[in-house]
Parts: sequence; structure tokens; C-alpha cells
Amino acid sequence: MRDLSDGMLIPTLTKIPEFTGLNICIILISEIPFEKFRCGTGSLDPIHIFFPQYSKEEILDLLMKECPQPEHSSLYQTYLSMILGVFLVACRDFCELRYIAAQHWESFMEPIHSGEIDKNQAVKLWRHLEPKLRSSLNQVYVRGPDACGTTIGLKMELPFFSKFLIIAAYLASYNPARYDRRLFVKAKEGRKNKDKGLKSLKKQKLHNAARLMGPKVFPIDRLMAIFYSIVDERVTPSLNIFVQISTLVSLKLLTHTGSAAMFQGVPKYRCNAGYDLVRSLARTVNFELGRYLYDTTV
Amino acid sequence: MATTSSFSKGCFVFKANPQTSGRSPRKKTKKFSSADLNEDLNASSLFAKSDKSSVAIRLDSYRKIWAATKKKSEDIISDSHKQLLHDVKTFVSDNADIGQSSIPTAFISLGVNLPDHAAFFSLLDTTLKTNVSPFVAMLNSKECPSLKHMVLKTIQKLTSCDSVDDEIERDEEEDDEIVPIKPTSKIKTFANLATWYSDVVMKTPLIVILQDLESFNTQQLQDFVLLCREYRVRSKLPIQFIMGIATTVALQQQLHHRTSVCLATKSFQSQPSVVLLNHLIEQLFMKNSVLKLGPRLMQLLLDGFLYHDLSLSSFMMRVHLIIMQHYITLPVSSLCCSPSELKNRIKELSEADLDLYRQIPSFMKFIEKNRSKVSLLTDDKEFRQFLLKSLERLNTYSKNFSLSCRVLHSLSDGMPDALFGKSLREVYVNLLIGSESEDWDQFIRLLNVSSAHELRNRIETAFTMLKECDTSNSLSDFTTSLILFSEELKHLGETQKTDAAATSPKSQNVFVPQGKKLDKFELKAQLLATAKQTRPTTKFDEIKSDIITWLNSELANQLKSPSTLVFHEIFYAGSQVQTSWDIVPWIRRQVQPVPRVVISKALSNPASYLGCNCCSLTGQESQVLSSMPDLCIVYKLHTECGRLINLYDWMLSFNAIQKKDDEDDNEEIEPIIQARFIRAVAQLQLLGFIQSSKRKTDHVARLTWGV
Repeated sequence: MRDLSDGMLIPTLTKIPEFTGLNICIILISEIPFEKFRCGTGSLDPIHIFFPQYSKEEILDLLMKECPQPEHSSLYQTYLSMILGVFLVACRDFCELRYIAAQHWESFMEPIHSGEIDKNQAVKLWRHLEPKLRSSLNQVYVRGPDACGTTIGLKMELPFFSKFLIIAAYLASYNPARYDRRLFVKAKEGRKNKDKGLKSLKKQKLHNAARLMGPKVFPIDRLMAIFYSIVDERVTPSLNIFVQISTLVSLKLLTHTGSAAMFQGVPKYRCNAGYDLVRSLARTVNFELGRYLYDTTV
Repeated sequence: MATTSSFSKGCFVFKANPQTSGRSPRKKTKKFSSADLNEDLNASSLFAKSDKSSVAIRLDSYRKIWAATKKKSEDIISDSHKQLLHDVKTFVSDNADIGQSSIPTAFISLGVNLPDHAAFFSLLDTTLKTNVSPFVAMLNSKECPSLKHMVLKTIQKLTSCDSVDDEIERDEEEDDEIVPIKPTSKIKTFANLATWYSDVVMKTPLIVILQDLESFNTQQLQDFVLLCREYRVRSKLPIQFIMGIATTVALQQQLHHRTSVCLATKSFQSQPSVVLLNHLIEQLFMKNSVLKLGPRLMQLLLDGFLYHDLSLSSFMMRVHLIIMQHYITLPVSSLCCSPSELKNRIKELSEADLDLYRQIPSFMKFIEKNRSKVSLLTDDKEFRQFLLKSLERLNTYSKNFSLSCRVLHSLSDGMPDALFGKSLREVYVNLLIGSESEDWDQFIRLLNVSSAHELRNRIETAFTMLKECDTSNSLSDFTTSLILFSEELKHLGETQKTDAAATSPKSQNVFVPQGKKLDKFELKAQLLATAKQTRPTTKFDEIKSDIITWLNSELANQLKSPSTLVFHEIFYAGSQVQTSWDIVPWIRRQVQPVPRVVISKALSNPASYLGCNCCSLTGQESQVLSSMPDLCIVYKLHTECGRLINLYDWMLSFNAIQKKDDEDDNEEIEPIIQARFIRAVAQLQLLGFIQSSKRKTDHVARLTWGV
């Protein structure tokens, strides 16, 4: 609504009674405080009525209404109180809680159906359920393939050079360009500028958290230069390499920035992959990421 | 012209373009065309080009072999998807009931090999249509630039399958009647779709397949999901999603929390493509196949796969290319056929053909070594017999070779350092390239120190494996010796138990220092002495040495690299042959196109493409001749400049070169020269070498460095 309003919608709405002279009541429902909508002048503040947060009992009652098996209603109540005990700390969203309750009901009922645990032994049931709840506590609000128990996680199958391309892109995104020479010129030069470098680095402590600043944009030349310097083997600059870059873009691991038109300058990219992913990739190809990262080298 | 490579080849990786210039446009079209008829036509025209004898035979065997290979590979790939397809199918039909507030969604993670996904999705499409519901809409991101398109496409596809059925039925009933305006054209919104669905007889789920989730616009996807959910809840449209994902990394960004709460997800995963590749190589090249890949091509293919794309479809394209090129280029490939046909074909060979076979390098080497067989060079009859015998030997050899690879793999499996490679495919490729003697020594050493139990286990796995694969009993001596060894070891295991009591106290005595305290030197001396004492050879040691001698003689013999055999060039594509027959450089150029290198070669040495004498380079590459095309001159001049190039200076030097022959030092530049210069610069910009610079007027920026 904030995006739609164009600055005029809400003031207009609030003044409808005034314009029309009729007794029109406008009710706005919002999840965020009205201050966020306030823009410009001339709008009247509406009368605020706060809708109170559901209490634990109320949520319990609401959830009870959707009991999947009415014959087990008392059991369901025990189950719900277990769920709420764990999740209420992290999440108050009713929809989410409903989803969680539905998700775990099966595994809760499993030992009862198999006859392992009697349904009156609440403590035993709790012991059975608790580890599962704890592990899924980290995944509240996450509904991906990961949430269903199968953890594909960061395991990724990529061609050898693509891995290096991502690493190179990451380095290009998170290292300032002027340090490239120091980081990538092979060891022959040694570290004669070390002291000088240290001094200048101390001056700019701000840069220390480059990772927190988000990825920077880099031109393709820089990507390729870093790529060739970190790959040990001789790589033919064949089309296959460039095809891989565009594949990575379509996989959203790199983002193409800059103008989309052809012949309008050098294409520029930004690395989308996170530190964890790049680190795990680097490990699979025996690449010491830390040595080439500006943050960690100093 | 023979040495040039196509100028434009690098630009057409995934698309066929019949208009490509250069040496062999048809070949390229061939590589990408999918229609079988088209392929056949192309192939025959290609073969017709190579105006050598036995073309028809070669074309025939090429067709047979490619058909067999293609069928096999397709079977393997569809087999590998079978389980996944079944899982997805059951998921879809299990969730067919309406009433959930969220949309059942299957995430299928298929890995990064994007070109392969299409095959899977077409399979999925047909499976779902036949087994679950005719209403399947398959979308990919290219079709859906906006939400509007997306909705329209979805509805169109969902409804069209129904109307197509209707039409077919109608056509069958009354052929001549004018087909009425399709009802689909009216359905443009989800509301319409809901009314349409209420009329449909079959209440099967509406399945929406999003092939490449990553490439969809995030906002658009979110809107689409919310829209579908709205209609699922309100109008009871049983919409289900199937989403293909390549990686899970971008998923959280792609589906916001607001969207993902609408989905009841389940994830499925396909087999990693490397596993499939191993399977494919085992099936295609390690089992009675006629044409095998030589080490160089095998390496090339594997590099392409593992380092670049992990894509099986492009792997198969390359295999296709190799098979075809082998038959086209190699005049001796007419004998590359199944063993049953061999005899007849040799009979049919003409004298000229036989001479070709005599030119094969491995045969020449053989003659050099065995001077006594010189008569083979002249006597045709004898040569025919020799040819038949050696080719038959080659066939049994390659069968035994792959079986021996299996034996070696099961024997060396689980050894430290993964001696010959972890998987069977690696073992095969390593041995094909030529067994590394270091690995072999290490292998023998490790076997030497292994315990009786371990050894027995290894031999038994090798034996069972051999029994599974070997149907023709070609390696019967192998099997018998393996049985023998395992029997002996088993026997040994039993006797050792009884012996153990007797031998163990004695052996302990040797190492325990007797009673008195020894000083360091004495102890050392004593230990050395005991070490020198040869340990009594046990029965186990004997067997072990037997096994190792057997391995060193028999197995190692079977595992010789194929390049040591006479006439191996016929069956192993891409072996070392004379340059006119060698297909490896050509294949390499095709599968690893280097557009940049090709372009700069063309620009710096135009004679190689134009084939003219006037601008052939006599000396160094940097030489600039006035007879060259303008573009080349401009290119060469620009390579001498720095990052920013002054246009005026550039033009002056261009003018200087054009005027080299004229004596008069006229400062004035002719308009025609100026125009030609500007045109050449524009072309260079189009090729991406320069770019107009905003920093300095009258300057252009260079975009490339080196080659």
C-alpha cells in the first residue's frame, strides 16, 4: 500500500468523509505502525485500535480447532503444548505455528501407532519428539527443500572450472581492486612491501569488514585475470569458459550488472555466492581461500 | 584451405546455423541437428564429399554404430530417470485431493547441467500426461517475460491439451466439417479457467511445471504463486507445481517467505551426472562396442565434461562427432565393423584398399620389428589373412582389456591413494592412456603386505564380478586361476587356525630380550640380526608370491595399452596416425572453440583465410602490408597502441601505409582513405576490440590485451 499510495492515496482515503460529507467509515488493516505510512501533509491520523497478540491459550484454542484426528483430541492438546513450548519463543505467527504443528504430527504419532510408547506416557513422548523439534527450530519460516528433512544444503556439483570461476568472482567482489596485485602476483616478489602495506591498512580499519559491505561490482577482465592466476593448470581461453560464466549467471550465482546492450562497454558482474558456499567450494578444489582474501591476509 | 579453421565456429555453440562460413558448414549443422532424417541426409552428403573408396561401406557402418550408440545412451539416461519420474508421479497423484490451503510443490534438483534438463522434462511431461493428468503446462523462463505472459501461457497450455484431444476426436468423426473456433482462445484469466475446469469431465489435477526456477523473475514468480494459491483455495482449482532447480543456493532469494508459505514442498534429487557418466562410459566403451575411443580423445571428452559443463547431452554430441569423423576421415575405417562382418569385408577389399592398410603406422612398426614378414607387403593373400587374424585378436584383446580393468578395479578398490582411480571409469581411462608403472609397482607392494583375509576378500569380489560380466567365458583361464587362488586361501585360513597355536609362542620368543638387560647397542645389534634372519616362508607367502607372479604375467599382459597392438588405429578413434588421417586436432577445435584466437589470427594473418599470395606474411606477425584488408591494417596498428588511442594519429599511420608506394609526401588525406579508415574502425568496434571513450575526445579505448 505504501508503494501504491504515491503519497496521495492515504490522505485521500482519510479525508473521504470530509469530502463527501457522509458518514463513511474507513478501516485500514496494517501489520506495521501507521507512522510508516505518514507522508506529506494534509492527512488525518486515523484512530488506532491495536489488535492484541494472541496469548498462548488463545493460540492453543485456535489450533485445537484444526485437530486432524478428533478421536485423539486430548493427545493433540498435549502435543500442541509441547510444540508451543518450543516454538513460541521464536515465532508468534499463527500460520507458521499451524504449519509446524501439521508438520510434526506424523512423527509424534509414529511411536504410538507402532505401539512403542503408550499414549498416556507424556514424558516419554516428549523425549521422543524433543530432538526433532529442536533441530527444526532453526528452520522456522524456512520452507524450502531443506525444511523437509532432506538436507541438500551447500552440497553442489559444479564443473571444475566453474568452481574456480565462482571463487574468482568472490575474490573480485570482496577484495578492493587495488590490492589485486599484492594478492595475486605470485610469491616471487616476496613481501617487501609488507610493512608499508600494514601501515596503510591500519589507517583504513573501516575496510576490515568487507564481507559485511556486500559484494562489489567487477568487470569481466578482472574476473578472468583472477581466474587465470588462481587456476594452476593452463587453461585454453575457449568459449566453454565464457559459456560457464553465463551459466553461472542463469544459476544466479553471479549477477550481470551494467547495461544490457551489446557493445556498450565491458560486461560487469557481481558475485552472489556467500562466504560459506565459496569456502566449501574452495575446499573441494584444494584452494586456500584465506590466503587470497583481503580481510584475512592482514 | 585445408589448414584454416572456421572463422565463425565459436559463435554457434548451442544453435545450428546453416549459413556459417568456412570449411565445412554441413558438418557443423550436422552436429546440432536433431531430426533423424536430416541427420541421415547430412551424413550421406558428408561422406560423399570424402571421395575415397569404400565410402558406402563406411557410411553404412557409421549409421549402424551411431544408431546403436544413440539407443544405448538414451536407454541409459532414461533408465537413470526412471526412479525419479516414478517418485514425482506418485507425489503428484498422492496430492491430488483439494482442500489444503497450500499448493503441493515438488522441487526437483537436477544439478547444474542445464542442457540435460530438457530431456528429463520432456520425459516427465509425457509420463504425467499419460499417467496422471492431461492438464500439464510446462513453462520455462524464456516464454514468460512478464506475469501476463506467464498466466496466458499457463492457461493456454493447460486448456490446449484438452482441446487437442477434442480436435482429434472430432477429426476422426467428421473430417470435412469446419473446425469451430477453439474455446481456448476465450480463456484468458484464471476466473475463466475456473469456469472451464468446472465443465471438464475429468477432475484431474492441473500441473504447472516451471523448468528453470532460477531464471524466473522473483517478483513475477511470487505474484504467480499467490495468484495460483488464491484460485486453488477459492475456486477449487487443483493446481500443483513442479519446479526444476539447479542449485539450492538461490532458492531462499527466489521464494520469499510470503510465497513459500503457500507451498507444501517436497524435494527430489536426480543422480549426480558424474555417476551417470561413469555408467555411460562403462556401457558404451567397455562392452563389446565396435568403435572405442583412443586415449587422447577420451581425455578430451572427460576434460570437457568434468572441467566445463557436466552435461551428458553435450558429451553425447561430442561422441557423435567423433564417431562420424572417424568414419569420414579414416579411409581404413571400412573394417571397423562387428566381428561377424569382418571376414566378408576383408574379402571385398581391393588392392588399393590393401595398400591403405599397409600404411597404418602400427603395421609399419610391426614390419620394421619383424623383418621376416616383409612378404606381407607384397603378397595380398597373405596380407588378407594376417589382417583378419590381427583384427580378430584385437577384438578379443579389447574384450579382455575391459574385463581385466574390472578385475584390477575390484582388486585395487579401497587401497590407499586410490591407485588406479576410484571408479571403474578412472581405472579404464588410466590404463587406456598407458598404465603407469609406478602405480602398478605400488599396487603389487600393497598386495604383498596385505593379510590373507583381505587378499581373499579382494580375489573373491573380483571373481564374482567376473562371473557377472563375463558371459562368453572368454577369460576362462582368468576365472580358473582366481578360483584356484581363493580356494587355496580358504584352505590356508582353515589350516592356519590349527597352526597358530604352535607357531605363535616361538615367534614371540625371538623378539623378547632374554632376561638380562641389554644396553642400547647390543639391543640394536640383536634386532638387526633378527631382522636379517629370513623369516620362515609360510604357505601363505607361497600363495601370495604365486598370485603376484600371476598378476605380473597374466593380468599385466592383458592390460597393455591398446596402442601396442597392430591395427589398433582401426578400432580406437583418435589414435596416433599420419596427419592427414588424424582427427584429434579437428575434434579439439570443434569442442573447444577459441573465438578470440581465431579472430586475432584472421586479422593478423589474413592470407591464411583468404588464401591469396599478395598479403602472405614473409617474416614476423607484426608486418603490415598495404595489400591487406583495411580492417587488418587497422587492427595491426591498434595492437601497437596503449590503452587510449588517438584517432587522428591512427588515421595518419593508416594513411602512411596506404601511401607507402607513392613517393609524394602529401599531408592531405584523401577523403576516400578517410572513409575507409572510419569504416574499418567501426568494424573493429563491432568486433569488440575498441570502444569510444568518454574520458578524452578523439580517443578510443582498447578493450583487449594480448591474445
